[in-house]
Amino acid sequence: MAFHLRACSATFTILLLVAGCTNPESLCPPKNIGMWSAEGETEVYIGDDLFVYINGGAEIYHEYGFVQVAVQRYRRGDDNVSVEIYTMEGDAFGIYSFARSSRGHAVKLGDGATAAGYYMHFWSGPELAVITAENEFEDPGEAVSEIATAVAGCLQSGGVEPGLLDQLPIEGRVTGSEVYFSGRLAFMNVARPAAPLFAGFEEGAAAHYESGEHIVVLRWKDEAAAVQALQEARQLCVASGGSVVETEDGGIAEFESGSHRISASGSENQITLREQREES
Amino acid sequence: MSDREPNDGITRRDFVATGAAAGTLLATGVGFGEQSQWPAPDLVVAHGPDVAKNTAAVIEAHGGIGAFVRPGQIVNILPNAQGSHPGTSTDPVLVKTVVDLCKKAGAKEVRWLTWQSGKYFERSNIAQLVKGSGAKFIQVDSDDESQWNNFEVPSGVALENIRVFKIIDECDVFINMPIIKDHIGSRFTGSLKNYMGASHPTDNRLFHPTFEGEDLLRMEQCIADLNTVVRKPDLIIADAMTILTSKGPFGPGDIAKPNKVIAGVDRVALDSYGATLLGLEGSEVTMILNAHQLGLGEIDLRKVKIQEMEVG
Repeated sequence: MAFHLRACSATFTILLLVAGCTNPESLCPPKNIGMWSAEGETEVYIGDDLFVYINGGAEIYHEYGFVQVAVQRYRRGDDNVSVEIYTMEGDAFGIYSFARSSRGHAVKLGDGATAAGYYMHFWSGPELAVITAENEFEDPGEAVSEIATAVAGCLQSGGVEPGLLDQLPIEGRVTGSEVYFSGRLAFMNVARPAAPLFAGFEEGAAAHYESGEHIVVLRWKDEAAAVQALQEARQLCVASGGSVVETEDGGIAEFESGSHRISASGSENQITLREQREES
Repeated sequence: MSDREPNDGITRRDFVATGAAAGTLLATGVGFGEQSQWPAPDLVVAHGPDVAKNTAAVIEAHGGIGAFVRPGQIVNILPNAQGSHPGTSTDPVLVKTVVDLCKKAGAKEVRWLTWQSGKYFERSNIAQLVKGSGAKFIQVDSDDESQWNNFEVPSGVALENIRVFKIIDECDVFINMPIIKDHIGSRFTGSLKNYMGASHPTDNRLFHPTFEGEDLLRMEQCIADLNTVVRKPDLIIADAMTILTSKGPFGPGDIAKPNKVIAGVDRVALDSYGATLLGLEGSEVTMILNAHQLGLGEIDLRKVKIQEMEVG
């Protein structure tokens, strides 16, 4: 599409697709894993009951299509580890990419895993597993890995990463920094300065780059919707006290917010945002 | 409908400033109710490896527990019991230390307030945390309207009404006991947001923007608005020993160990200080900025008298 962009300086029925392996009456999560024994029964929270399990922060799971979570705790002497298996409406890559540690390292498990010391996230098809050492003990990473491996053995892998990730440039991309989202709460966390300006997108993907740049790709249902979204972003920018300047190259809009500088470029039904945090 | 006056923001800072001008740093131990002559620092921060010692130290620096609790009084406490992931809940040792000190001062009763369900508290270490605290556990029934005040929020920007459990006002002393940590919605949670533990859970859900076109920063404004009508804290004791610095408030996420306990009365100042532990300035957290703009406290730490101490 031919975006005529401008520069702006601103100050400014729950579907119960319950996988058999997460049924509390089944063997996943397993009752015993090596020296670890399940403590109590598996708790299952469905739909809005997630607010009973998570007091604050449950909204993000709903935004990603939460169906249910099964929670099991394990004990080995005084050591405690929890296993949470979240079942989503579709493949769980999105919530996995949001929830995993940005400082962790990739592990071969399920359809993708990130380990970060005392905890690990992995996804398998529609399920996200979160394994957490809940108290301090020697080598929690090894314990988490042992339990995660056992849990992965009872989940079915074969999920597919969203195609929009392919729109993120590969060169210089920080491995494991990719986040996929379709809701505004996640967007606000991924790109807070830009999030209030852009609405109505169907999905988005973001990643950090070795250059310090942060790139976000947003996709709308069609080109007209993307053009309109950009116009609305410009209006919001002006409404918040910013100035609008026509650009000559026909493809870049710049937003300044605090220590952030964001440029936007459009192509068909997508807008790509590039954010460079200025060194203070 | 309650006829209670809206929270009129900070008043204590004025006399603290007076105290500072007089060159007095440490509290003199005057009783609660006479605080207008009390030249304590705005914030006391104790740093050390022992949470119990840190907690006792910050209270002592505020004049000792006797400055807040007198014999026969009822004390309400509001800890954050988020879950069992590390860095998400107020340290149980901190809670127990405060409860023990209140009882030692002669408190008739120390009550842990919550609207969370029994099922929530039966879970794992949260139940142990409650039982071990020595506090009387009060669960407010969210379905029983008689247990809730429906406040108008006259100075609210986003909120017009909010339900807050009545029992928070039915005490002589109220101590807010948050944990400092990250929050995916507001970037930060501390004393201001901990009041969502006293407002009705159904109302709380409406804080979050869920529809296209809604203000993404609505939650931050709602929290600031809520703080204009809830009972002001007589003391805030915030846990910053082991804190979640990402993926909050529930985690798991990155963990930092500032090994600090922070105490004060000014919610905005305390949160502004707490935000620095996450690498943020108070003004970068919309919720704190909004609360400051509503007159609830001082956001500029240069204007806040902070006493930092090392505790061995």
